[in-house]
Amino acid sequence: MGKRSILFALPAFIIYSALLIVPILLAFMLSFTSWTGYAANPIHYVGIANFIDLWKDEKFLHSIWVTLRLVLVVTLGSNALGLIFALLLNKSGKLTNVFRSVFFVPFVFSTVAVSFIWSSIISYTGVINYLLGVVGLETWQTDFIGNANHAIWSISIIEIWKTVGFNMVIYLAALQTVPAELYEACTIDGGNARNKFRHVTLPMIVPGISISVLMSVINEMKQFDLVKVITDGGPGSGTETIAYHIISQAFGYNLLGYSSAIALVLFVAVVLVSIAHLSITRRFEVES
Amino acid sequence: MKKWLSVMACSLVAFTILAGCGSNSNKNSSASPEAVSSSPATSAASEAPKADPVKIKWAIFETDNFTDALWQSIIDSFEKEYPDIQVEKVLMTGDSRPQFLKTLLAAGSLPDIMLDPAELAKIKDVLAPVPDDLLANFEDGSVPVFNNQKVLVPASKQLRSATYYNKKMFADAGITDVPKTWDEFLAACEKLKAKGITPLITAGASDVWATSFGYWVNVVNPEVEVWNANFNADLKSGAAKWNNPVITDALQKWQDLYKNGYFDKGSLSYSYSQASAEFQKGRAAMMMDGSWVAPSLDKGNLTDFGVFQQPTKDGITSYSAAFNYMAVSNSSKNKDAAFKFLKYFLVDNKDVYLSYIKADGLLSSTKEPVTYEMGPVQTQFVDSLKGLKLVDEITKLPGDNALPTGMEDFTQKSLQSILAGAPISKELDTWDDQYKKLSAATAGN
Amino acid sequence: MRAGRSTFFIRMILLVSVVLYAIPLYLSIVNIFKTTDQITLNPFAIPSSLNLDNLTYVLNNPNVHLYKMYLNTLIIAVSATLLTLLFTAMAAFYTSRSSGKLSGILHVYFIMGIMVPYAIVYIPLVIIFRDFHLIGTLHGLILVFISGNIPFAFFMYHGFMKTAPRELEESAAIDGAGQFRTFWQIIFPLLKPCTTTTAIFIGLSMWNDFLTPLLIGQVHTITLGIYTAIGPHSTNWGQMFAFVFFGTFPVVVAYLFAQKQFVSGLTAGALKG
Repeated sequence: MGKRSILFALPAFIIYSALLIVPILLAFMLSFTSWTGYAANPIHYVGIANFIDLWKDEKFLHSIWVTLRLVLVVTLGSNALGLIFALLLNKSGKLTNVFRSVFFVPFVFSTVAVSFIWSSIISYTGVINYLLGVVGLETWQTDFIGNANHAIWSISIIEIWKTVGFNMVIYLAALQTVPAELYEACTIDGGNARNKFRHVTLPMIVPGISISVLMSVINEMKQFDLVKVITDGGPGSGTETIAYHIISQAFGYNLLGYSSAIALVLFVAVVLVSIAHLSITRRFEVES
Repeated sequence: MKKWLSVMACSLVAFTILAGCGSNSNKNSSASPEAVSSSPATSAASEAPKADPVKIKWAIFETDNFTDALWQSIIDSFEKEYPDIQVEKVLMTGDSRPQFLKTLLAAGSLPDIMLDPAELAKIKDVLAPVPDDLLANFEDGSVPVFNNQKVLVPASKQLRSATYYNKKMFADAGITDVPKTWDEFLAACEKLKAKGITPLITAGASDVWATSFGYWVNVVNPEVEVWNANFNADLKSGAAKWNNPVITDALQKWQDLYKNGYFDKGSLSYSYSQASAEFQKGRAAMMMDGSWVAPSLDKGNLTDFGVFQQPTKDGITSYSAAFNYMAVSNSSKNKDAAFKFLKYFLVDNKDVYLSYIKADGLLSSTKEPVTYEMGPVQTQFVDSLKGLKLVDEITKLPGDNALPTGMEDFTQKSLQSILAGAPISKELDTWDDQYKKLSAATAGN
Repeated sequence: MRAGRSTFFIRMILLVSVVLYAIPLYLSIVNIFKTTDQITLNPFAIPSSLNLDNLTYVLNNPNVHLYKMYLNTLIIAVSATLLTLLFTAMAAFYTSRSSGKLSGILHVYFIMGIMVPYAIVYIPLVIIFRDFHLIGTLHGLILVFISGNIPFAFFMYHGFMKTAPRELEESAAIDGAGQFRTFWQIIFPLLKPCTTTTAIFIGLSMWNDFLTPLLIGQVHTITLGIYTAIGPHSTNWGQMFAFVFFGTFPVVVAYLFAQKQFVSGLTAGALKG
C-alpha cells in the first residue's frame, strides 16, 4: 500500500490549528497578563499573579464546589438511568422504539428550549407546586430555584433528563457487542439473570461504560448553558459553575487575563481527569 | 499520552460502529437536505450591498414598548427628509446590551449610532464628541462629561422607581393612608401580614437586576445621598467604602423584611415579568418597581393600583431619574450623517420624538419640554415627586465618577445573595475588592 | 409464575419512567394551544379546541424575525457540518492509513481537542476575529463551528476507518487511480454510516448552540433568537411554549428521520452479533 499524501490532513489541520490550538496558546499567554481587552490598553505581564489570585477568589472556589456536585450527580444519574433503560429496551419491538425516542428526544432539544420547558414546571407558580396544591399539600410547595441548594439539585435533575438519552444510546450500542453465545453458555452453566448480568454483560460493556462516563464527566465539567438560562448563576453566585465564572470574568468584567487563567486551570483539570479515568478503566478491562 | 488516547479511540469504535454506522442507506442526515438550495456561506456576504447614499448603522433593542415597527417608523420618517442617508438597524442580541456593545467594540465593528452606550463612554476615545449645537437643545445638567469630553446625547429622561401598591389590599388590611415614614411602612407590612396578605414581592431567577432594583433605588440610594452626596467621588479617592454603616444598615433592613416573611416566598424564583404579572394578579400588596410600570398599568386599565414614593429612615427625601443616552461611534466614517439623524429624531421632528418617549412612558429631556397626556397611575407617579430633590444614582452616575465597567452587575449579583441571607458586611467587603480590581482594569492599569 | 411477575415489574418500571420522561414533552405540546388562564387552571388538560393564537403571535411578532433566523441557522449548520465531515474524513483517512510517526502525532493532536473547555477559546477567538473582521459574519461562525467539531468527528472517523476493510482501496490503487480520486469515489461513500451518526451529533450541537453565536458571532441564529425574544414572555406560558416549538421542531423532525437509521443501525449490529 502506498503512502497517503499528508495533503489529506491539511484542511482540517489548518482550521483546527488556527481556531482552536492557536486560541489556546493565546489564552495561555494572556493568563500571565492583566489585559482588559481594549486594543488601546497596553498589555502588562503580571507573572503568575492571576494564578495566585485564583485561590483567594471565594467565588471561584465556590464554583469548583458547584461544578463538582453537578459532575457527580449528573454522571451517576445519567449513567445509572441510561444503563437501566438500555437493559430494559435492548430488544426489538414497536413500543421499544417509541420508548427509546421518548428518552432520546430531550437530547435533541437545545438547552434554551429545555430550560424554558422546565422553568414552567419548577417555577414557584409552576406545575409541581400546582400538583401539590391540587392534592392539598400546599405546605410542601417549594422554591426550586430561588434557593441555591435547591437550585443545584434542580439543575442536576434537568441535566439528567436532557442527557440520559445519549448515555442510553451508548449503552444500547455496547450491549449489542455482547455475543449471544456467551449468554447461552451462561444458561447452560446454570446461571440466572443476575449471573448473566454480572459475569457476561458487565465485563463486556466496560468500554461502553468508560466512554459514557467520561463523556458525562467532561461535559459537566464544562457546564455553562443550563446554569446561564435557568438561574444565571443565581441566587447571587450560588449556582455559578467554573465555566460560568470564566465567561463572566471575561465578558462581564473584562478581566481577560484572569479569566484565561481560570480557563487554563479547568483545561488542565479536564485533561488530568480524563487520563486518570482512562487508566482506571483500562485496569478494569484487563482484570475482567 | 498516545496510548491512553488510542484506548479512548478504540473504545469508541464499538460505539461508532454499532450506534449508527451499521446502516448504509441514509438519505436524511439531520443537516443535509437543504444544502443544495441554500448555497452556503456565500449568501452571507451579500447581505450588505454597497449603494451610493451614505449608509449608517443604528444599534437598537426591542421590547414590548420599543418594537421593531417603532424604530422603523423613525427611520422612514428620517429617510424621507434626508434621501441621501440610509439608516440600517442592528439588533442588540443577548441579555446584556453593554456586553453586546463591548463585544462589537472588541470586534472593531461598532455601529455608527447606539442606544444605551453609557458603558462605552467610560472608555477613552470610543465615542465621538457631540457637537455643541446639538447638545444646546437639551436640559441643563443633562450632559455628562467624561475625560473633559461630552460624548453622550441625553435622548430622554426616565423616572426611576417607586412603590406600587394594591389599593384594595390596603383597604382590606385597614390601611387608610400610604406610609410616610419607615415605621409606618413596617406597620403597614405587619397589618397586611396579619390579614394573610403577602406585603411585598420581588423578582429573582435569571433577572438578577430585578431583585434589588426597586429597593436599591427606593431606599439604599436616598439614604446614601442624605449621608454623603459625594459618595462616588469619595469612593474613587478612597475616602469612602462600600462597607459603611449606612449601606449595611439599609441592606440589613431589606434582609430582615425577607427573613420576617414580608416578601412572597417565591420571589427569588420569578423572572421579572413573572413577578410583575403575579403582583398585578394580586399575589402581594406592594412591589418596588420602575417608572415604566405606571404607563403599562394605565394601558391595562388596572385601576386597583396606586403608587407612592417609598419612605426611608430619613422619611421621603428625594427621587432619582436617569437619562437614556444615545451616542455616535468615534470610528464612524459618517459622523455628520449620524448626528444629523439624532438631531432630526430628537430635536427637529417633535412628532417622531413624541412617538419615542410615549412608547415607553418616558419624559422629554429637551429644553423645550414635550409632553403628552398621562394615565392616572403615571400622573400619580409624577405628582408624588413634587417638592422632592432630584439626586444622583450611585450605580448609574455617568461621567468621571462613574463606577467602573462591570461593577453594577457585580453589585446586583451580590445583592441577590444578600436577600437570600448572605452576611452583609462580608459581601460588602467583596464590593470594595471588586471595585479596586475593576477600577484598575478600566483605567488600563 | 416467577418470570411472569418479574416481567410485569420490569414493564411497570419502564412505563413509569417513560411517563415521567414524557410529561415535560407532553406539557410543552398541549399548552401551545391553550390560553394562559387555561394553563393555570389545569396544565395537564387536553386543549378543548385547537387554539392557534400562541403560534400566530410568534409568527406575527414584529420583534421575531423567524425567517431570517431559520435561514442563518440553516446556512451555518449545513455548511459547517458538511465541511467538518469532509475535512475530518480526509484527515482521518491519512492518520488511519499512514503508519508514520507524523500520523501518530496528528492523531493525538486532533483528539486532544475533545477535552478543551470551550470557554477558554472565546476570548482569543474574539481577538483573532477582530483582526480578520470576522465577527458577526456567517462564514466566521461557520469556521468556528468547524474547528470546534473537528475533534469529535475525527474521533469517530478515525476509529471507524481503523476497522474498515482495505481491499477496495488497494484494488483501486492497483488500478492506478489517484489518491484523491480514490478517496472521493471509493472511501468517502464507504464511510456513509459513520458520516450519518457524526452528522447528527455535530449538526445538532451547531443548531442548538447559543453561546458561540452570542459571544463571537452576534449572529441571529434560531436558538439565540429564541433566547433573546422569550425573556419578556416568561409569564405567558402558552407563548413561551410556542417559541420553544419554533426553536425545536426542525431538529425533532430531523431526528425522527434519522432515528430510523439509528434504530436500524442498532438492529443490524444485533443481527451481526
